[in-house]
Amino acid sequence: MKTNLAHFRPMAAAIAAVMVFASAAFAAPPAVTTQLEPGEIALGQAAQLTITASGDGSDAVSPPAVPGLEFVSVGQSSQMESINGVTSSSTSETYEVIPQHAGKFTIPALSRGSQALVLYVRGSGAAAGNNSGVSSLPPPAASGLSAGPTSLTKDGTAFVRLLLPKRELYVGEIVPVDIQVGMHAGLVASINGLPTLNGDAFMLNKLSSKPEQAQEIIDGQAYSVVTWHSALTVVKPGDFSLSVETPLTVKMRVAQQRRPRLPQGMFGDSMMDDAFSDSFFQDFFGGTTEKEITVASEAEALKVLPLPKEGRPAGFDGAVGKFEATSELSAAQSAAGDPLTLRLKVIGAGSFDRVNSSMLGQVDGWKTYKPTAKFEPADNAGYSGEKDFEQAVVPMQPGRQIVPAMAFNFFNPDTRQYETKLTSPLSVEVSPASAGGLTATAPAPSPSSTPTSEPPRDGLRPDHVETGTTVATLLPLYFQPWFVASQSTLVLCFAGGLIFLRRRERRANDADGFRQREASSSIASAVAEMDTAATEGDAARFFQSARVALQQKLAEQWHLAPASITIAEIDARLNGEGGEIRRIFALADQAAYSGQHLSTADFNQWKEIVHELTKHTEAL
Amino acid sequence: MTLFQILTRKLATGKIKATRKLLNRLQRETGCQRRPKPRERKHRGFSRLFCASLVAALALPIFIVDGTAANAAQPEQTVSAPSGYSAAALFNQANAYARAGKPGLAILDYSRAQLLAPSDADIAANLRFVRAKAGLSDPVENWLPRRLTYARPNTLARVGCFGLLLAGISTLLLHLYPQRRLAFRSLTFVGALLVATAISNAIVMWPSVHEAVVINREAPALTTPVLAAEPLFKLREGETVTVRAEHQDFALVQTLPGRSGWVARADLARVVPQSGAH
Repeated sequence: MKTNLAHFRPMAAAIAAVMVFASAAFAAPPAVTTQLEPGEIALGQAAQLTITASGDGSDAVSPPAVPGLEFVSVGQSSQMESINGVTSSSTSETYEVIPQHAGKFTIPALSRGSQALVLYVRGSGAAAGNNSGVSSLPPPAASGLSAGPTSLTKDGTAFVRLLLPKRELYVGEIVPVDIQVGMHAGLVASINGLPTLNGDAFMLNKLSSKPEQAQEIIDGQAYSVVTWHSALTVVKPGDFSLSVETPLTVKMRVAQQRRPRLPQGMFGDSMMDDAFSDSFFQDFFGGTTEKEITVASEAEALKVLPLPKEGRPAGFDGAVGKFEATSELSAAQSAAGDPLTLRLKVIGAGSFDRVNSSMLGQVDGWKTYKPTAKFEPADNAGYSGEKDFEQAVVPMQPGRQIVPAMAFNFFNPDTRQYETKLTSPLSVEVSPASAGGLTATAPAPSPSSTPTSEPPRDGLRPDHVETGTTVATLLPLYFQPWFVASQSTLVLCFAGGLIFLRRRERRANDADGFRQREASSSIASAVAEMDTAATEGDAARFFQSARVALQQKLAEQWHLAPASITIAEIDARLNGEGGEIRRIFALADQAAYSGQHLSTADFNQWKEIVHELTKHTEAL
Repeated sequence: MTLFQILTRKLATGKIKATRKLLNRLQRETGCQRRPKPRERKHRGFSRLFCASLVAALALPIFIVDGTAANAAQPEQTVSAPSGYSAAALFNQANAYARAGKPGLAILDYSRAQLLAPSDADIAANLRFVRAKAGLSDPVENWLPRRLTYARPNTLARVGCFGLLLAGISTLLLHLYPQRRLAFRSLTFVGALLVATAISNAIVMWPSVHEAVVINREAPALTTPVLAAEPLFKLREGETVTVRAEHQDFALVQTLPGRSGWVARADLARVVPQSGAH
């Protein structure tokens, strides 16, 4: 007999439920702990409140009502552990605390053991305190950066934003850029890599390994926002779309396959089924899995303009941005032959890579050396800073010497014009050289009397300013099918023309062939005229044409002129043969004077004879 | 013996040459001289015009394409045609890659820029520098290939096209106007020289079309084009190889020293993209 175990399952479940209820009834009241981070925030930001209830029956701890604060639940987690047979559980619920106004807020204690929490909320313009481990996100408006609409992923787990100062740029320009990756608290496990650009016309400067972090509320949901401040270099002109993407690992809740409904048991309803369908059990039996996704920002349409050719100064090296230039000498007094250091300081923001200067060139009374350059960035992105050029210069003559003004050219994208910054002329009192002073050498590495351009930074020669000719493909013309086809056709045409001309020349140079062709043509026309005469019944013309045809034929055969073919010539050459030919010649003379008429049958008979003779005279 | 007989006999024995003048005289003697009909003369003129038009039609597109490309360099037009390649833009991009510590991509872009501007000293210098920095040796080039690749390939291709036109037309005119034989032969020679230069350049350029650069940090070269295959050796980032064959996701490459192996296509980037796109 088969035992039906299914009947025992409701009973076992009921026993388990009774044990759980009983233990809950005799359990100690839950201990509640609260944690608030950070303790000070700016208006518009959110703090995070975590309420942890330890012990049994601790799943329903709500935050207290505090005027001016709004609590938004962002996640819940449960933990069960069994140590030496003693089972304990705890439930943590996380809330985003959103202040309605600035000020000091006190969150009262939730249990006897816990303590009240204080939250300081400063106005949006107030400086950030130093008591928080979380830095606040600089407001985009303050930095001049703006972003398109924030587009969350379909499930709302994350977003990526690209903040740019403007949408119309120039080749060679460097603009500051902020890349923000927002992650829904509790749903995104990690960022798997640095954001990368989708756009080949731009280069992103190195991203910091320690980005800024902040909190942001979007549609009532709290997002942890990571921000990289960097700079974007524009490489080539055109209309481009630019976006940025980041690989993330997100947590996905995987629902366990739903258990079959319990049969109607001793409780007579589906109470047990409902109990095990609770989220606690679902979480316990179900779980989360991690999935790697790539989140991209909204594509930004950018227009990159080439640098204008109009008004481009001669010494322009491709620097784009806003700069100021100043110069100074290491000393106001010196002796002839003693080296001085001339410094040119370029301060500003823009493409410092292309900020170059040959400084002092060949100037009368001065000996100059190769300048050196050093860049001190003022930010992590290398967008703004100061570039110092140093040059060793030696006054050669005593007296008041003037270092002329130095010019620094750059393109200002704001004014869309080339600008030239001139430094002030510098004067130095040069005393006569001390003994051997004029032979003193400056501490420059290379004693070259004529300075050359700045040595390449990083060993690389500087970028090119001109964009140059653009081609659609890198494949050389030789290997493009249309080019090969057109050239082949051209060659074939020339070859055909050459063959045609050669053939024509050959035919023209062939005297025998030419004569034969001409004779054949004459015979054909004479025979045709003979046929016409036969049709019209003109006997005189018929025999005349027949004689011409035969004369042409025999002349071609005997290499004679047609006019010289007479009856006497025929008799001499044919030795009495060729009676029909003689007869035709005689009839031709006779018909011309007698007006002889022939019947149609006679015409046909003579036609056949003439045709036969013009074809087979070689037999004669 | 008549004059006709004397002439024809001498022609037959080869004592005199068959010139056009002589033939005209013979035609007069035989009474069968035939002047070309007006329609035939018109037809001959038409055929010459047709041939000239055909030659022009075949040659013009090359120069029109050249003009289009040159015009594309104008700022107004490059803005609306961002999909092109420019030596300067590739050079700048390569510099950016080099500064960002990506020698593979930098060498790739320098090589591409060098295709468009072979005589640019900046490109050659930076390419040498990045190669040296990446620990790669510079390929040894002979004198002749270096000279042959000094000019831009597309410019030489157009020069070759012009040479072909010159040689072809001069050859045809040589037959039509033999009295100017020396001038037309000289032009034919010059045209042939230009064509030979272009063909030599194409032959020297041919391997570059199949070159690729390793863009990832390390690329293992396998014995067979399967992932589980045994690695033969490793290619370094920035190394330039010649692609001999392709099979699915792998390419059979040959290094400068002559070693061959199958490398994942994802580790390589062709100097001349096959699709022609970026």
